[in-house]
Amino acid sequence: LSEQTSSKESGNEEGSETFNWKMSSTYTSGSIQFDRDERFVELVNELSGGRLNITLHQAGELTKAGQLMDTVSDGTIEIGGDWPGTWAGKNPAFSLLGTSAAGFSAFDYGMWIQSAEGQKMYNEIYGQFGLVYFPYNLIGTESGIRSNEPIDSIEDLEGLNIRFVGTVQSRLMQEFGGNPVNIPSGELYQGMQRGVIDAFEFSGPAGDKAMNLDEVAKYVATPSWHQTASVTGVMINKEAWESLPKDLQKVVKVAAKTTMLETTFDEMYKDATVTNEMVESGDITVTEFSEKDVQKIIEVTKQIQNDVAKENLNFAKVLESQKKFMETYERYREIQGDWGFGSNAETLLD
Amino acid sequence: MENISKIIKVIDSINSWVGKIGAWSIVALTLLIVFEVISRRVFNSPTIWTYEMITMTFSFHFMIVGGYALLQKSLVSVDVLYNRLSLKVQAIMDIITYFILFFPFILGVFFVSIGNAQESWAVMETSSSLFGAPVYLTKTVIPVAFGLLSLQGISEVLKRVLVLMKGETYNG
Amino acid sequence: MAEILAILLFVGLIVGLATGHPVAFVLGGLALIFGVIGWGFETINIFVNGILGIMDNYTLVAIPLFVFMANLLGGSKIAEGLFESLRYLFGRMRGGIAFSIVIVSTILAATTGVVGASVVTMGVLGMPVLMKYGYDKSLSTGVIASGGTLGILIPPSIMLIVMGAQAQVSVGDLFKSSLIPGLLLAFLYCVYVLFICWKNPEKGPALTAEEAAEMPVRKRITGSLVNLVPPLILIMAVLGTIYMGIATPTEASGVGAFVAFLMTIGYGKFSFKMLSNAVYDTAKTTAMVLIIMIGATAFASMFLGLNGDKVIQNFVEAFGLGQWGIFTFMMILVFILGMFIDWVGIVMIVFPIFMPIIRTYDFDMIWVVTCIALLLQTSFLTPPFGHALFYTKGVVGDEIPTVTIYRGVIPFIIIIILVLILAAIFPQLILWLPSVF
Ligand code: NA
Ligand code: NA
Repeated sequence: LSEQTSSKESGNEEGSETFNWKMSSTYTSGSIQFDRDERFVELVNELSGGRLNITLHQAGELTKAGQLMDTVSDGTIEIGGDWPGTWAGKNPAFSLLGTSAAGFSAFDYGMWIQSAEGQKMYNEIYGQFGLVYFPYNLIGTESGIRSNEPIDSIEDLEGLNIRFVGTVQSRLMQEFGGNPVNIPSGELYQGMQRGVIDAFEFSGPAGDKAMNLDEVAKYVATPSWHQTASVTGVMINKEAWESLPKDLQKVVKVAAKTTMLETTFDEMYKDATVTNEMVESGDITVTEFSEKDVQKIIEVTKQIQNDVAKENLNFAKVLESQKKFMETYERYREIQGDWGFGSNAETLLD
Repeated sequence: MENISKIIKVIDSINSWVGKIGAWSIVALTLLIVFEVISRRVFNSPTIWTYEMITMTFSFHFMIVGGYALLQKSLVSVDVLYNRLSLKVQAIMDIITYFILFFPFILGVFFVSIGNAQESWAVMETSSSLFGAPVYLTKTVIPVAFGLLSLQGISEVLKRVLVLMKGETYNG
Repeated sequence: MAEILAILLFVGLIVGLATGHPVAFVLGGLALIFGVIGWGFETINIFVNGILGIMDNYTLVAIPLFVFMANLLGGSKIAEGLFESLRYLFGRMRGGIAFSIVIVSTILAATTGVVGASVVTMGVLGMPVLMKYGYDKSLSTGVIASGGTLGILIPPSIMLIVMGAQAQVSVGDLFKSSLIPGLLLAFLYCVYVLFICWKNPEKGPALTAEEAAEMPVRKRITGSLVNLVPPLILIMAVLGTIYMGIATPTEASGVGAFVAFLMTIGYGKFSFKMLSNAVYDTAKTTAMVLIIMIGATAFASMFLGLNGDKVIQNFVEAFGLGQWGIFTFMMILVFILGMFIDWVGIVMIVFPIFMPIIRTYDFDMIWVVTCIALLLQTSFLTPPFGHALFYTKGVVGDEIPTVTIYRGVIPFIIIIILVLILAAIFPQLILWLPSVF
């Protein structure tokens, strides 16, 4: 039964048993999201010297995206690559673990996870489902809202049928008179092409491009306040995790961190080049929300977050932790202003 | 033999009734879609619940009639070799395949899906959309449908047993 | 171990199907046996999740709705009127009804990308008429199965969208590139039907001289106009709502069913009995299609879960094939896999293995992907496992044996391969349209 999952073949010396794990993703081959899963698996398999062998399957091979958490929770497979927001139906707190509306930047998420309480929060919420979690990618600001009629202001959202995900985000859209429609990513292309939806958001410029979504919308409304940053990572079945010897656990941790470093920066850089190509080709026109609109969005987001926090204790706890991080970081941010965050790179621009 | 016929009759009428009543959900499905198209396009006010209600109705529709479809011999099979066999050999073959292929799969799914449905009810699981569709209902449909299918499987096997005992096809 | 299990899974499929057990449970049963041996009892969770995935799949909603539409049209005799008047319109030309079924299939293909919906719809609508007028059974089922399969090649097509994302090529270009090959297939199906009926008059009997004499040409034309109006309204309702952006292709199927229902009332054909029969038949057919899908999903997930795709990968790496060698090998593999699993599984196996290799050569990726899409038409038609075969069989029931259907699709499989070879010799058949629009 050498093919059996996580079968332990007795090795020559202690701590040399081999683990064969199955991993499934919520994404399909060809997407940049799946590329992250591939890189992570490659690193684990290499760094473990073949002692932890993960076989990666794309969404739909073993299980559809929506059923991944159940499959890892009950130990059918050991490990799964996901975007935490997918599970907001099980617990709204997942929404905050996956994405931030008018809030965290990718760097904030990174710091919160690495240096503040973030990692603990992931393990606490995922822990309720018998899982441990390792974030392995920080997604920078997304593309924005893509449409075929220009969106210049909040008022332009009124009456639009728009694909929008996330607990806070959907309520925001409703607040502005838009209709958040839940249309799966696979139907986005056709839905937009046929005018079933008027607008949508999916991912960053590179992620949208990989799904060919830039082909069906001429305009993109910025800044991307609906998701200023997002996180993806791997969930691991707790029992499977605990069965690993310490050194292999370390391999997994190191692989997740390395994946985060590589994919986060590669993708952000790619977002830049893809945006250049799109704008230079003349196919895409970028519009901007006014400062006044942005202020209003911030106000409403605060209100909605607090409302959800009142309804759900877990959401409240994660939100509290994110707020605590931001309070700590606020003063330094204030003092340094835009200069501290590379916004004013004039000396490097002609 | 009379008892066997009685069991067959009970099972068949259960699936016949459930199937015929469940089948009407196609009308609800049609109306839901027409409602969605009209409310969105004519009145420009899409609702947040139709999209998920549509998939829920759809999944109820085809799952609940599974046992009925098996009863009505609507679940297609390949008859290339089967047709050349005698009635008795067909019956023996059917009994074997029901035990090797049908029951392990249907009962396996039946028992595992009960557990899944229970877990879903425990957290009152909803979808992650604004509407928050009741996923626990969808997950409950599976054990119900596979329960009906396994019942029908029992009836089908008993029909083959009667063939072996009487030498002729069972007719109601 | 993986190799042995993967091969045994295919052998098991051939043996299992031969036993005459329902296809859906042969697939599910084998998946369970091999899953438990090769993986463990956890494997059943995968099946349950697979079922949930199908239940959640919005695109599949089109299946029961198109089937309902077809049953309403069939039960109220509106469909029969259409084909009958077409028969008069074609007059003494042989094979007229089969010919018009290919045409209607092609139009239907432009509304839906779900094969189950189009095959079953055409079967329910066309089969009774074909049988009534004494068409050859092999030819009839062949036309229904292959015509219905066109839906997944001619846009809109969910298959092309999935392939576009997986191969990192433009879906817009794929929609354009597959249009000419799709229409060429439809055209050659028509040519074949007319040719075979011309050569063998008994395969597609034309109007008899007496019938023709009874009905003057003018009356045939006016009669056709009357009978053609309802289906035209229906096509307008379905196609129109899609192309005007009022509804998704999935929603259009619901609009179609609703309009068909209104027409049964408008034409005075409505009765409760007619409606309830349509409802029950729809349920049975829908269950047939979707329960096969449940079995097929379990089967494919076990093949992939037991690392069947690695077997193929090792095989590819073992041979040092050149540019055309690898392309030919890939196409043969797509064809062979098509005998056992459906397009979703094939795309998931073939694309991750071959696309990185193919991309290192100077192939036009749009051309490569379109060739695969074209060849995947055969996966629905090739025995032992072909969705279109089973759906056709499901619609015709016990009256027509499976062998007759197997025999019927062979010419159409040959035509598909022929068109593929044509597309290889003249790449412009695929690449011209995307280059000009
Ligand atoms: Na199509
Ligand atoms: Na096939």
